[in-house]
Amino acid sequence: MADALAAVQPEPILAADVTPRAQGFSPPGGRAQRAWGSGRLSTKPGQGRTRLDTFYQEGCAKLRLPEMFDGTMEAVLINSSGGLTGGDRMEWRFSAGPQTALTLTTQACERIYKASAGVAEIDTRLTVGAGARLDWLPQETILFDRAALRRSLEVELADDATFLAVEAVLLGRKAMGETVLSGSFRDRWRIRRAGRLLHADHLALEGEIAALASRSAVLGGGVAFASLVFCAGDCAHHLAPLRRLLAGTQGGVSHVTVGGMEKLVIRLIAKDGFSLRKTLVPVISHLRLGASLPKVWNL
Amino acid sequence: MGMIMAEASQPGSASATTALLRLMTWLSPAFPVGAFSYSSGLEQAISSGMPQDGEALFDWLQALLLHGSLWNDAVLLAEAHRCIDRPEPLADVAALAEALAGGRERHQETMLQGSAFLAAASAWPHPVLSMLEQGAAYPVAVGAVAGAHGIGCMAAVAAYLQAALANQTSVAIRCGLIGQVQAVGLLARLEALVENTAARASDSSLEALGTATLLAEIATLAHETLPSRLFRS
Repeated sequence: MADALAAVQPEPILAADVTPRAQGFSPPGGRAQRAWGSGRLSTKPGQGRTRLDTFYQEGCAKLRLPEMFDGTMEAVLINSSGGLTGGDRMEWRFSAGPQTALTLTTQACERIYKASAGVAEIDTRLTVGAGARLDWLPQETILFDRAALRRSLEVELADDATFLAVEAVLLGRKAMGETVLSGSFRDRWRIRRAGRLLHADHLALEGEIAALASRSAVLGGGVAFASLVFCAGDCAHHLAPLRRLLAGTQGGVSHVTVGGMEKLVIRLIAKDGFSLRKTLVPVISHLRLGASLPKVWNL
Repeated sequence: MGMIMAEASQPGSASATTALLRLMTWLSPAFPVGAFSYSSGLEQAISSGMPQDGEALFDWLQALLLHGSLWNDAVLLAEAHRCIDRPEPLADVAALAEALAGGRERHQETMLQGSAFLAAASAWPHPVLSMLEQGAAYPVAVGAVAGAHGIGCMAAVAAYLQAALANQTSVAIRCGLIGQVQAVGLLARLEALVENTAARASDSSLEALGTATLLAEIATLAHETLPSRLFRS
């Protein structure tokens, strides 16, 4: 798999405006060097296909571009440090140029390990140009006991851009007998269309997470949850099929209009990661309108 | 009421009695915002057996105050309260509150009540009403109007939360989950938490926004397809 993904790996293009690592992230007080990574990519249209425009990777952030045969582009995000802990920071910047189609996913689940000090940060900014489509489909984030993660997703959509985003979180790995007793998880979303705020979300699970998750208004004992947002003009017709796909699950979907702009929002809770994926895959598939899911998402 | 007294001594603020009267009026079930017609998903939650008795409802409401939509509302109200002289941040918090409203019914619940509140509050004329003439989510409308009339932030948040909890217990009564006496008992037990939450929110910034109550939110989504319903949300 890794070899196939690496097949069309382009050379890094060093951007002039990048803050050097030494300046941006040298921890004070002689503590162990923390992981840091920055990855950027933008696309442009060319002969009816999505082409690479700019590409940049630094630190533990790597990008792989599997060969695509349908004219779209897929980028696989890799954190080569193998997981994040307090003080680590990842920055991702992606821009889908006009009339291009870009799918972003991760090679593995992002693991957030026990933080002895500080907070791990993942900061993602996405831009989707006119007539373009971007799918943000990272695999699940796994929080381990006493993990501390602050995540931010900022998205700018052109007037007629299409955007799909999924973020799934597992509290430990149930199959491995791991439980998360305490920790801190904060996830902040902002999605703007033509400069106007269309969607905002702030999730916060902090402190005694196991006790919190067991409450009936919170996760009802579930250890896996996901948020999904789909932004496109005229998307109300997806509501009925999505309701059918979510029937019998601990999940819900709604179609919301904010200042004339449309979105579909989904929240989903499951007893474990496998059950969550079993529901998520057909839902994502439906909203991909026939385009295949990234291979890593195959059950 | 100590908080109303303390804040009343500041220049430009309403007297303690005026503040009390206005909050009682604005957040009374009789104020024409239609609060009685919304359940914030509680009708759905009760019908699917999530809170099954008064104790479980207590836990549910506590979670909403500490980790749910009521906490976010408190933070948004406090921000609007701070922004009454600054049209741009006020417009920003209004946009944020609308974008944060999870599903269609929750969006409708907060936007329609906010607009109705602003319309009814025009009986107390103030320039801030014209700053929100596009409408605003309910906590933003209440925060801006309370701030504009010199009513303390903590008092306004506390009154807003108390009204929301009273409405939730009223929903539970109408759904047959609890009786009147139990409902009053729940409000008495939640009093200290309301005061504490109001204090924390009035001292917060938008950084404090954050919810964990996903099942309560899913209940607001699922309510859209609840076959037989008393409430609009």
